[in-house]
Amino acid sequence: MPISLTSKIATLFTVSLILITSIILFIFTLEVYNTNKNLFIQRGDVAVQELIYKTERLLQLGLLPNEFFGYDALCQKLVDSTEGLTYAALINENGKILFQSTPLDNQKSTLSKPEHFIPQDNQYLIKKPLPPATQQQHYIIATIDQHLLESKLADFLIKMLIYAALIILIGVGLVIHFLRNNLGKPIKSLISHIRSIDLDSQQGAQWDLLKRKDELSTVAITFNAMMSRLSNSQNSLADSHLELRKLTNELEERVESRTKSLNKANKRLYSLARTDPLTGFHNRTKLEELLSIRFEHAKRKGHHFAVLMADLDRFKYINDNFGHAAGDTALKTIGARILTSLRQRDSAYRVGGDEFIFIIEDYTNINSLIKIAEKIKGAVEKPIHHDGHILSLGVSTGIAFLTKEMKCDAEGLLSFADIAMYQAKTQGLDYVISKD
Amino acid sequence: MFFRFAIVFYIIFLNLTTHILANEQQSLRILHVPSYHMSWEWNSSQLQGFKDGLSLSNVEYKIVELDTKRISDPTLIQQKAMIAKNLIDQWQPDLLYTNDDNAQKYVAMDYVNTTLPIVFSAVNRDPSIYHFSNSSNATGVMEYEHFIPAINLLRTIKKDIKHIAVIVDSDPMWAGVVKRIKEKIKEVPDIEVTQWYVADTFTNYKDIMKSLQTKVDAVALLGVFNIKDESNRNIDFKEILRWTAENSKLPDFSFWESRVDSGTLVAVAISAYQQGYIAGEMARKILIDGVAPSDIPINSTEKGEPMISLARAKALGMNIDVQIFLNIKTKKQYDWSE
Repeated sequence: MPISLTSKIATLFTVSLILITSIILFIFTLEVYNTNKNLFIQRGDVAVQELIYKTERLLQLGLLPNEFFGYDALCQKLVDSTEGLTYAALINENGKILFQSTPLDNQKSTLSKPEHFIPQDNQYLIKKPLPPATQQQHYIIATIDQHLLESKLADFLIKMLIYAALIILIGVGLVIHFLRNNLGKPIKSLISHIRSIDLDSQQGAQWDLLKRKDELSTVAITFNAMMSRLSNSQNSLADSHLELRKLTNELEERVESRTKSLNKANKRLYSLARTDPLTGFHNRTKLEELLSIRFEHAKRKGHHFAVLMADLDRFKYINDNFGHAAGDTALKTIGARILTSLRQRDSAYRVGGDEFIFIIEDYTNINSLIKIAEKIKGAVEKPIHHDGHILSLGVSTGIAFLTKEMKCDAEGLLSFADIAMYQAKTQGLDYVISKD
Repeated sequence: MFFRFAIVFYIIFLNLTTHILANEQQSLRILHVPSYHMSWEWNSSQLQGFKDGLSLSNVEYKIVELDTKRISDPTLIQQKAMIAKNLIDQWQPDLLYTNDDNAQKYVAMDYVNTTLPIVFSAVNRDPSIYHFSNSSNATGVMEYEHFIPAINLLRTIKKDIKHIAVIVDSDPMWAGVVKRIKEKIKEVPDIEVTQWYVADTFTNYKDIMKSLQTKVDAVALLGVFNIKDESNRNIDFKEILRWTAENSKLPDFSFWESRVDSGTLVAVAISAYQQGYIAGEMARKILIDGVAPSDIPINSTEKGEPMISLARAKALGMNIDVQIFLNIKTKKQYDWSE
């Protein structure tokens, strides 16, 4: 449980007050003891002197000590009226008591002879001679009891302690009251205010602390000013945050758009990088990517495919005689025709100026491959019009396909197709099917 | 400007100084007529008290003693009173100060309701006898004896006193005293005045005193002045009191210090000085403050002075508490033995 600042200060004050009071009381005790001791002795001296004056007066009147009727009462009266004095007596030079006040109990018990005075250790003795009026020397004696002095001192100290305790209690009460009103309550008010603070509502304008005339009102004013600045900063920050969010969204949208454009461009670039622009076929790069994947897949799944390698006849002649534009037109036309005739799952590749490779998926039999070769032949040999000329081209196609028995790689399969295509070219055939 | 101011200041200062000096030089005249003789302490103390109460330095006093303590012949007293009256006519005093009853009787009462202010002291009798009551020009101090305090003092010393006797001489002034004592004794129900005696001769006094030894516990001695010997001469009161001290075993008391000086055991004495002092204050009010005597009420001294004769106590064989000797005025010896 946290201890409040008020409690800490009150505790510190109490401890300090008790400590200071203790020190003061200790010093005071010593001082009072010495003062009382001296005071009692002085009072005793004065009292004895007073008794001497009175006795002198009696002697001057012509009375003898043995005629001092009622002198005992005089001694007792002196003892009763003098604080600290416990015994007074008139004795002669032999210590014989002529008159005396009522002895204390301890004096009675220690008197060897009731009519003689014997000083005790625990007494301060005052003994003064009377002026010689008779043949004998007489003395007035008085005693101050040390125990009485100490008991009086103890009584005094108890009273002082009670007063000190009362003063401390009152002092602490007042300090706690003061601290509660001037520190505790303002701090609680401050904490409560801070806890309930709402920067948007500008609380604190009606704050009680503002009415105070001490540092806490300065704290409250400063706090309010700080909160005002903080509120303004927060508002400004919120505006900035909103602006930033807007900008971020815009940026994100722009980035997304750019990314989309880039992806599109990439895709296009990827596609362009793998597409022949004239024929619309895939190029050699795409073939190499696909072929190795497709070859591995076929090995694992037993999914077969065939490779058709075709080489255009008289293409060089057209380029040389009608120009490269004519060659390009021819290629474009042939590409468009072939692509329309191929199935969706089959693919075409331009791997040289007038060389093409076709990957045929899931062929049913050799005849189906031959049909495709025929379709290619038909697409190539169909006349092509260019700039008033009719361009006529032929095609030689080598067909190779992968069987379960074949143990070759992609390069091997392509080389079989290439050999078959070469055989068809050299033999003037439309197509040759690889026997390997 | 400065010189003008200095001159005005000097004139004012000179006038003031002159006025004060004139006042100082214009002394007051007071005629003092005591009933008795001035060598007696009773009278000298009263006059001293009067002077202190008046507290003026520029006063011229003239004194005419009637000396009635020592002279009881009315013719002689009248002659002395006439001297005083002549002096009043010739000297024109500003104030007449008279002591004790005889001075009122023979001098003061003749000037009541005149322009001469009268201040008296130590008057025992009712002031109306001298026409002082409701007069326009007389006021003063009554001498009321402290009877109850004196009884109490005596009982402090000797507790078993119940019956007392009172002795007075034939002077009519004691009538007032006796009357007051009879009133006062009612306040002390356990004390009874069983015997009232008027002694006119010393022999008579001795007989009374001897007869009282077994009848009462104490004796109050009032008048012991107007007691005559066989030749009809007044006997000195000290002689009477000496005889009493030497022959009486009864404790006695009175109200005047002179009695204790001469052997009376105790007294709560009327202070002659206080009587005079209060009278002096009254005179100051009349002469300095301009107060009319009729506006100053007749007064009396409140407290008496307790005293004891140690010599007499010893003679009576009394063991008196030493605190009595310490607390009240104690007369060590008889004045006639010094």
